[in-house]
Amino acid sequence: MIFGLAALLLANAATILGANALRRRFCTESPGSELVHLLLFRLLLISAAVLACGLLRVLNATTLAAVSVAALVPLVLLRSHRDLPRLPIQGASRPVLIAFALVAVRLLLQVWIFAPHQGDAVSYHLPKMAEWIRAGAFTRELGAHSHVTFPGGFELVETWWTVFLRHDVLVEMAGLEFVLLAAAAVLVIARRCGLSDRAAAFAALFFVLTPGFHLGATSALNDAPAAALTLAMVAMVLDGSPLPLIVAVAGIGVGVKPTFGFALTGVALLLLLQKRLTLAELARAPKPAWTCAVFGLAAGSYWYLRNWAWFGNPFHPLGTPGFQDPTYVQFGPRWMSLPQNLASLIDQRIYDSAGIMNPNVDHMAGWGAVAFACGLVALVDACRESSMLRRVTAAVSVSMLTTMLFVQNDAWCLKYLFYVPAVLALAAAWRMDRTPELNPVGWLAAAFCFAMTMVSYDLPMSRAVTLAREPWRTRSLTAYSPRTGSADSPDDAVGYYGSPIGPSYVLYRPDFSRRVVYFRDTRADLLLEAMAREQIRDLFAPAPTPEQKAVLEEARRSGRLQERDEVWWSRLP
Amino acid sequence: MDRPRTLTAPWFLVAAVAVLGWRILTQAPASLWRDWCVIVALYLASHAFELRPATRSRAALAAMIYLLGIYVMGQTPWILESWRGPR
Repeated sequence: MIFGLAALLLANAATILGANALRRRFCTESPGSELVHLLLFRLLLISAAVLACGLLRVLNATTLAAVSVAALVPLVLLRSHRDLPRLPIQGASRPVLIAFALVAVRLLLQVWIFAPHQGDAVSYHLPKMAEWIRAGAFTRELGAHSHVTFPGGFELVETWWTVFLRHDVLVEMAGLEFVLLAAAAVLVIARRCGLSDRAAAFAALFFVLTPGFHLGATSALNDAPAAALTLAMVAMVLDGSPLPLIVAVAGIGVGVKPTFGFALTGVALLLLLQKRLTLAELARAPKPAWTCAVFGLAAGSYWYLRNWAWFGNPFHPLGTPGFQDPTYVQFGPRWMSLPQNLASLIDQRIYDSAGIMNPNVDHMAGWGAVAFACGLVALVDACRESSMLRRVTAAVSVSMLTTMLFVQNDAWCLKYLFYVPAVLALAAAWRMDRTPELNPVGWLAAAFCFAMTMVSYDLPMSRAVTLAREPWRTRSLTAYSPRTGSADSPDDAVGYYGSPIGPSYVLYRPDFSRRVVYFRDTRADLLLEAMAREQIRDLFAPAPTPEQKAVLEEARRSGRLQERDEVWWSRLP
Repeated sequence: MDRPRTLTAPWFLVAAVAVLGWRILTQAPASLWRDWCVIVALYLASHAFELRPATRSRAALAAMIYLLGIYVMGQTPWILESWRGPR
């Protein structure tokens, strides 16, 4: 563990110094945007490192530590540790700084206490990471869910925070990186929109407390990171960042989540409005910066190329003939989706009153009290008086409408729009800067958002308190069994034969010490044979499909499989 | 910061009336008191008139407090449930 911790620190130091060296090489920036550039270059380096190690089958702490040490020596000699950007909070008022500190401490506590708990995370985001870490390489086995082949750009960052300790206690740190990125991006946008330093800090605080975004950051989901990258692109366009770097972020973003691509329409509009899509602008970019663009595009397109190579379809399983998705995802534009999504946002979901807040914002928008109470009213004034805020609002609106065109109106469709409340946060901060009498309402709304984001639907307070009392080494939802509270298997290798959307990640244990074998057999004798071959005794089968249920029943009737409780089955000798 | 520009006042009224008409036609009358579009439209309508800055600030304050009340009413029971109940 000591070695893992040292390796984690060394590797993070190397990526920060490396990112700082790249930032100084390629960016001529205004004060405030240094942090955005640093975080984006770091993200690029982390993605490249994990991708390379995964492909070369050396995805482990030792290799990454060795590479980090090798990189650190020249970086220190080149004095890359100098001119590290400061936190761009100059001019922020003391109450805002205290609020930021409070939010940061709580986020760190949440990272420490929370075990991966969110349904999508434990069913298809994290099982692939667990397989990679166990194998020390990228694997063909990614889990049982039909969405496991979706792009895994965010999982690369989660792997980074997990591989050194070989433990998932810090896995949510990946989300925190994007909270910091979003806050820094909102600060840049705010300053470019003419907000004072004080108001810009207010806007960043307001946005960070957006409930859907905030809970998403500590739930191992990729919607908050995609929103942060969208805001980073807006900030870079406004700040005059070199075009190749904007292209690099677009590449990374598409690798994090395909829905990020829908927001690019608004970014393109902003580039046009800012007169940045010109030959002169292209010529102004430093030539080596195009290398970054190539790296960003390569990191993002890897997942699509992999799917193309494996399945002949870059978007697999979407668009595959005959594919029936247990969790349907719209593929391509559909005109009816736009009015349906818009109407449900305006008429119902913006009130956030349909249930306990959660990172998937089921039947809600997750935009929070600040956006709803202060932002909507303030936007009227802000758009009236600030041409730059009008531009940003127009760009974000175009991104929002495009996204709504491409996603079906399901319970969680608005989680793809977590970047939109940034405009409302900017407007609210802009208005309050001009009318200090409005500040108490802003603070009340922000406090309410803080209360909303203590815990989520997927991890209520009682469960969070229980997790907090557990030793960190064993802190996991495994012990509770995700569905029934039944006892976990004592074996170091178990099988999974349950619902395709079941929580298979919890089986791996927090230190990835358990092997999980996914069975896909359609006959009882084949299943039993496969279990014997893999030396698996216990089978985890939560909510099996009717076909799986029939196979399990047949195996039970044969006397070779015993139903232990609602989710566990045991093979008899 | 951009120089404040005053748009022609009647357009604010036209826009506000259009939004109000849309909501009245499409929403249940009993729910209009808590419809955010109605509140924002009324605030928008106030821009059609020459108001002193202090009066406009008070209008913004009233609209924000009203909307905050609506939001808090809707979400508070759920917050309490998430803090309280074992699941």
